[in-house]
Amino acid sequence: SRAINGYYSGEFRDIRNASNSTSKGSAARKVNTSAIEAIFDNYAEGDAIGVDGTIRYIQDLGLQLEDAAVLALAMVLKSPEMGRFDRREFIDCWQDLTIDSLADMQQQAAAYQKALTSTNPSSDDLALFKSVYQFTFKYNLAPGQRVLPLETAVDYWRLLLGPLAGDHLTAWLDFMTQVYQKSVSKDTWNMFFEFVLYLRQDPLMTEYDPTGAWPSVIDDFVERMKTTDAANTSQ
Amino acid sequence: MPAVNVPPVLPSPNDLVGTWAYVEHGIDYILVRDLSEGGITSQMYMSIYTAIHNFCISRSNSGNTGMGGFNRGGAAPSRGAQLQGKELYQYLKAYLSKHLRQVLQQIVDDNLHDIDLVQFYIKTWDRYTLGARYLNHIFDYLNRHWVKRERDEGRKGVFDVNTLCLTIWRDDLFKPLQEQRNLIQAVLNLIQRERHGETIATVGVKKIIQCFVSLGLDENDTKKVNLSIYREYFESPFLQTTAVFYTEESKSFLQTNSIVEYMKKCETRLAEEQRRLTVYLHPSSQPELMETCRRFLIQQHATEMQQEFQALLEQDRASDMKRMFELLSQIPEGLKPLQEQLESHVKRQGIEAVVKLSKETTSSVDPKSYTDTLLRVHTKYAKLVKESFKDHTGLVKAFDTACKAYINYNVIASGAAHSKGDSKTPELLARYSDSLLKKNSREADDANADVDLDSRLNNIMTIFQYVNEKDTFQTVYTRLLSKRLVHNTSASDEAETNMVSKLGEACGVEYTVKLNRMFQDMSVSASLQAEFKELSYSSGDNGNGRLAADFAVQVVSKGTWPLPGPKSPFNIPKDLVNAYELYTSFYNKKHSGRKLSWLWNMSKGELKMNFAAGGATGKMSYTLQVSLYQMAILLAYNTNDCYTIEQLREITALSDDILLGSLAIILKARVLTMCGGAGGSSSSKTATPTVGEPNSIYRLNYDFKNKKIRLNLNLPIKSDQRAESDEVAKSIEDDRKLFLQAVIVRIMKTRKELKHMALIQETIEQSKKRFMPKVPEIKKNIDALIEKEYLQRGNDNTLQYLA
Repeated sequence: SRAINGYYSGEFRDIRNASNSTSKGSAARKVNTSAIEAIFDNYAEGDAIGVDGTIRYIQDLGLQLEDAAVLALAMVLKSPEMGRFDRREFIDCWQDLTIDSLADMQQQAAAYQKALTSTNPSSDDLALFKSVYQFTFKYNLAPGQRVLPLETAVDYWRLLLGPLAGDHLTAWLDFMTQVYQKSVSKDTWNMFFEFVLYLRQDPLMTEYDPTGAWPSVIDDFVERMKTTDAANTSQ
Repeated sequence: MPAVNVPPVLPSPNDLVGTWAYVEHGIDYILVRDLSEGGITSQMYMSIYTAIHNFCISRSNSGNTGMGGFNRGGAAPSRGAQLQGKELYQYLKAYLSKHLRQVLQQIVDDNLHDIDLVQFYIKTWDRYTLGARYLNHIFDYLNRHWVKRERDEGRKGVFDVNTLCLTIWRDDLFKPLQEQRNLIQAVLNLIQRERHGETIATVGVKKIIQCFVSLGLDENDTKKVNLSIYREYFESPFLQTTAVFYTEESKSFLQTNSIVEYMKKCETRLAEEQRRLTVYLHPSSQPELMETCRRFLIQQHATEMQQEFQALLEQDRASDMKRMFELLSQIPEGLKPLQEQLESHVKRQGIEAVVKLSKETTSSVDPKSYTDTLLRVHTKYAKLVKESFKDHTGLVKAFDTACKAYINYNVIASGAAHSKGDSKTPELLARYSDSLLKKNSREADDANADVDLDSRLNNIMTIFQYVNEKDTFQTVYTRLLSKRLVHNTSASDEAETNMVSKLGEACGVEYTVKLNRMFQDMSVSASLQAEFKELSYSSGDNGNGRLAADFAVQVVSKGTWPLPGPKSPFNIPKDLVNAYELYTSFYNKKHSGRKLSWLWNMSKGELKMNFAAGGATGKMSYTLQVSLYQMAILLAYNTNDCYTIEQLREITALSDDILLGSLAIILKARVLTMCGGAGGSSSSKTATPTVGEPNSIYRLNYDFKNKKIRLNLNLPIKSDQRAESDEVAKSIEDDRKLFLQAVIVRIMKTRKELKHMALIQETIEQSKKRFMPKVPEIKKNIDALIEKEYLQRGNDNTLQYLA
């Protein structure tokens, strides 16, 4: 998991820099840790920011609670559970990103939001997207559970994949709620993201191979789409 | 002896001209003069030999250096003596040359053609070659010394006398003759005449062909066979003629004859050419001649033959198909279209036979008729494949593919076309085997069945080998066997073991492990029963242990036997409680760790009914064969004559479907009668109340009468049967899930990482002996294993094994 931390803090810190081109010099810049601590204390009770603090912090960053960027922040700042940030991780992570002012934090949040809502994301955007998407599954898992309740999964699919998946998402959610009607496994969750990427190449699914490496639930979905399509055109 | 034959006085050894004149005179007798003059005498022969000998040694002895040898420069032999002979050799050569040119001239003068030419040629050749052998002997000394020396020194164009004769024939007669008179064409014409049905003098042809072979000379080693003349002058035009002849003949033959007739013609022609090879051609022509014939007789018309195959199949013309097979198997790829047609034909025949059967049967399919139908098609075409196609690999494969297709998928096996459900064949096959192995079964008693049981079981195995879903057969077979064993309806232990060992042979011992264990359980259970019986009688003294009735228990292991457990609560009738407790304590004492589950639903017994009126003799005693549930109902009537449904429900504790089902059979047999129900007012007078209606009353029928004194009431209840086939389907499905997951894990454990497609292929490969898994089925199990974290997805459509 250290590699992943490095990946997050290393790769994604440049999101902000990429837009205002302060270049690599930022790494050498001195980060004001106490400024970060001050920001933390502004929202925290003791060593953790709780639900109320989180709501205020999110708003101060210029985000809505239902923004996808909130999940990106939760991932980057290693939030252990919904509505909670711990002091140590909060300070270390912002420090790693060489960000010590609320304004810069806002900028970073906006960059996340932009990356996650793009209808035509770059490959960097997609890499971030995939991490956030996979993080979302674990983040929402109830203790001791291995599958996500269908309603939760549906909510987050809506929240995350709207811009990327478009009409396919509606069809997918219909299928999941009306036909599949079961909790969602990690495999189904992760592979659906791959499927969404696949659909960008082959929106009509003409090349889809039902004997390929897709999980059966996606096979079933594609088959249903094709049979309803066929039924519609034959009418 | 004529005077001319008397040899003149031997010439002087040093006199070349005299010696040659002496020798030439003798050769004339050998080669030229009319044989009526008596040919050469042995005396003459000896004299000539001596003259040649004398000449050859003379000069070397005398040391005369005048002619010959010393001109040869440094090649002079070390012995210091020259070998004489060159002059004689040259004279002989010139003589032979002249002689043969005269022969040629004579042919031209006499204007010999065709057969006359051939005959003359053979006659002359015979005389000449015989003479050449004489000359070779006469000139033996020359051969052995001068010729040998010359050849040893590598001189070209010097041969022993016999070979010399042949080379001169070749150059001065054969080659010019071929140019002027076309001898070869004359021979080919003869062969053509034979092909057209004339009888020709094959001995002559053989001789002339041998002549061509002899004329092929290896200048370096005269003993070696050299076929250059035969090849160049004869074989190549012969093959050409053959090609033209058969191209034209087959074309014109086919204009007026069917392809079937043509195939007979082909067969004859090929045999003829084969015979021609042994009779007069050189054996080395075999490959090319037959290849030419095959090309122009078979290959050129292969398509027409292949197109006729379907018609032959439909008309069952085995011998014509055999002929076609034999012809087409001689050319590359010739049988491919036959394989394809055979496959689709057999498949269609199988499918149609089953359609016909399904039209003839109104109710459910009889397993025997179904199996027989499948078998008839198989038997018919297996015979064809064996007898007409000699079990040729490609055709056997096509036949097997076809059998697999129609046996697994046909109108009865899978209802609608392309239905996703499994084939019914394995189940029907298992049911047929049950009907054969069951006691008193209709099949076993079948009067006209002189076919013995074993061959019928073999028939099942014949079809079985094509069944895709062998696991379904196994499940159904196991269930049926368990019933035969538990109900003791098996006809013979021997037949049972026989069948199981056949299955073991076909599928491996693993396939029959459970079946064998069932047999073991039965014998263990029997000895247990014997022990219990002894115990229950011996402990009978104190009263508690004595049993009210015969009581037999079979104990079998739950994991092995697919026996359904009871689905309803049940009160043991008080008459049986004693036995139940006695056995339970007996068993627990023997095997303290084991748990006995009683399968009430499978238990049965006999009741004696002593009350009923029975014709003139008064009271009759009837015996009823009943299920335990029926027994519980009926035993209650020992206390009372009549119960309401509610009371019966309370006494037996049975759930309604079983209670009412059991009751219905008793009512139908009129052991009990039903009256009243639902408060009486609502039910009309005409309609009989429904079984189980609230307040319905069941009364013992004192007027019970029946012709038979033994009645079997232990009949299957309808709902049970349906439940059972669902259960079978579910058990097969569960088994497959376990099996597939085990296969996948086993593969991944050894391979660690594998492409998705490769895993699917391998899984199919490893499962197909048992059943043909469908890809979605495999994928579902891969999903399940990912979820259980046995596997995870890697990059690029791979799967990885998680230890």
